[in-house]
Amino acid sequence: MILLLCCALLVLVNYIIYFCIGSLAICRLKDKPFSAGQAVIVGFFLYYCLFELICLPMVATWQKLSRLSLIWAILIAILCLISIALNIKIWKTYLGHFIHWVRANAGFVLIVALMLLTEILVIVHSYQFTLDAAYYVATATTALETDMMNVYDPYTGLWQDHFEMRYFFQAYPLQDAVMCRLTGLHPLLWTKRVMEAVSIILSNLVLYQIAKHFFKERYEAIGLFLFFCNLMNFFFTTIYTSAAFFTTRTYEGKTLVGNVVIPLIFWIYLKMQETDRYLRLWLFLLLVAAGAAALSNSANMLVPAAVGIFTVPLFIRKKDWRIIPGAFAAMLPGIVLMAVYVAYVRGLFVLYTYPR
Amino acid sequence: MQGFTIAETGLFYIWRCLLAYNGLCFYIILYIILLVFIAAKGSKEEKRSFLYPAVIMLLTVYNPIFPLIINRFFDVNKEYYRLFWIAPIVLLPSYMAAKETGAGRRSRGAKCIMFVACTLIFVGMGTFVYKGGYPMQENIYKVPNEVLEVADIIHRSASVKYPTSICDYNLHMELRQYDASILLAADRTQYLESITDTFQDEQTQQENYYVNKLLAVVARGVSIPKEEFLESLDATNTEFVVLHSVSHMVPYLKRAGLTEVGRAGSRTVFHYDLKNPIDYDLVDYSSFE
Repeated sequence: MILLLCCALLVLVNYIIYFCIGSLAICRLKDKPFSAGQAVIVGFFLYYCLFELICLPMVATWQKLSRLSLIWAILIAILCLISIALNIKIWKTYLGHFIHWVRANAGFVLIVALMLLTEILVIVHSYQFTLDAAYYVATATTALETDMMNVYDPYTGLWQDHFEMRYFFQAYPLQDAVMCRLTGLHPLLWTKRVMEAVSIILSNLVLYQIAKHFFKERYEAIGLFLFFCNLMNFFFTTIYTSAAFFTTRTYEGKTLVGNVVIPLIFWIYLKMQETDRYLRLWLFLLLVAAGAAALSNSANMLVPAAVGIFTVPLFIRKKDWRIIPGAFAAMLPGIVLMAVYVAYVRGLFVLYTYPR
Repeated sequence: MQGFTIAETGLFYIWRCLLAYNGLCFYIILYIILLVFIAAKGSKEEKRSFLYPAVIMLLTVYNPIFPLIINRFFDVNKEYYRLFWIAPIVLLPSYMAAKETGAGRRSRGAKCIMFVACTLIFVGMGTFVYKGGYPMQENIYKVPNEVLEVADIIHRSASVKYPTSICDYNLHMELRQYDASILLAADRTQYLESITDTFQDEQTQQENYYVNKLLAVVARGVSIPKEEFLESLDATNTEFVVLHSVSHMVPYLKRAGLTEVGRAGSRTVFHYDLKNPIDYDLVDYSSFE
């Protein structure tokens, strides 16, 4: 019971971290009111971008997991402290507005909270057997056991003489390992409880942003939209759909790509329809694309495709050439990482796990 | 997609993919109907949000020629279906249902009827994820209790710090999620290739020679000559074999000289006395820091 309470607390800690980091990026925007939901979403992707930037060089130079964990803990603590120091006044003002908003929409908040809690309990409480867990979770357990990152094969535990590039850029399981090292939690508890709950909440947060776009302040319709989306997620369940990943493989990075990244790109596309000032949205899209690369390799194919599919009609309608470089920049992280992987598969380079 | 490739199915690949992707869920039909509705009666915003991207998807992702072209550059056989995730198949029906149900002009009764109707449509057109029963977890680790018990038995009976084992399929995939100090003789690809009888080229066959022998016994239930099996256990340093107690290979393992060291629920753990057990140790990277 205490462990489960710890898990619940860690879900909250995750969100506080995302919120603090995201606030650093969006609190200073003068022409836009602060939004906690958007701060969390921006913070989540900034968090994974930063993690990728620090983690990959350390993996490639055979550094220990414990060292990465220490560096990461210090960095996150510093960022959170800076964010608190810089943004506390804005948060206080926002809190007042938020409490007022909760009181005014108590029914909506209560129903959505109950729906979310039920969804989390149902999914997190279920037994989930998937083959990919043998990679995702075992990567974290192997890293913890050996104190090395991606050097040992998670499937067998045997030493590998080179890094498997298919998974090299996907730092998500290593982030799990870092957090397990810092919290002392078993990877199964972290991945299949804490991160599952984090993914479910984050996915709903993105759905909420989409609903807000369509229905503005009509909270009855927003609540219904969230209900129907979640209902369909439980009924759209062949093994291939993103909804099935959401309910049965929630702890995988791919789930976040299908249920957070793709809907978020859709939301950004909706926002771009409304404005001619794209820069901020393109920067956000670039952040999402770069952060998604850390979640799963599938993002390297899906994100450029999704950006292309949503920007072509935007360009045709607006006939604005500024759209092209923005879209290209957002596609770039995925395309580059895909090219690197293809080069590896064709034998153009190998990253060894020892000095040669 | 499992079971077919772009090379085999050609222009029909998309069709086969869509059939497999949607299975007995008919939301894609609902999605298409709603797109047609939006094309005819939808607002400008609805057309921009849903219809135009759908047209681009029809020309690209759902275009039968598209996978043939992409496959020339990348092997997308296994992952092409993920491009279907881009279509807002869940978002569009949910948006329409919320819009119609939550419309301010409707009476409370009409809203209730609308809500029930939409819910019934969504439920009726899909397949419930827990239709076979809710898979209740057995412990806080969310793996079967047997995984914990088997790991415990292996460590109690092991002669080395990092014992190697080979297990039945499910256990093999879950054991190292719980305990990474237990090594496994076969990786996931080797296991899957064995049970699906995938063709292996000569080089792979050579590399996997001993592992394939072990998998023939453990995964495929083939009684290979005892000497070959024991030689493979020694060559792969495999000290433990875990099988379902009711497996028809249990007598074979006993005849081969393996000893039962414990039972965990429906599974039996067998131990083999390796001729030259290798005490596997982690590589020392401290000098590279």
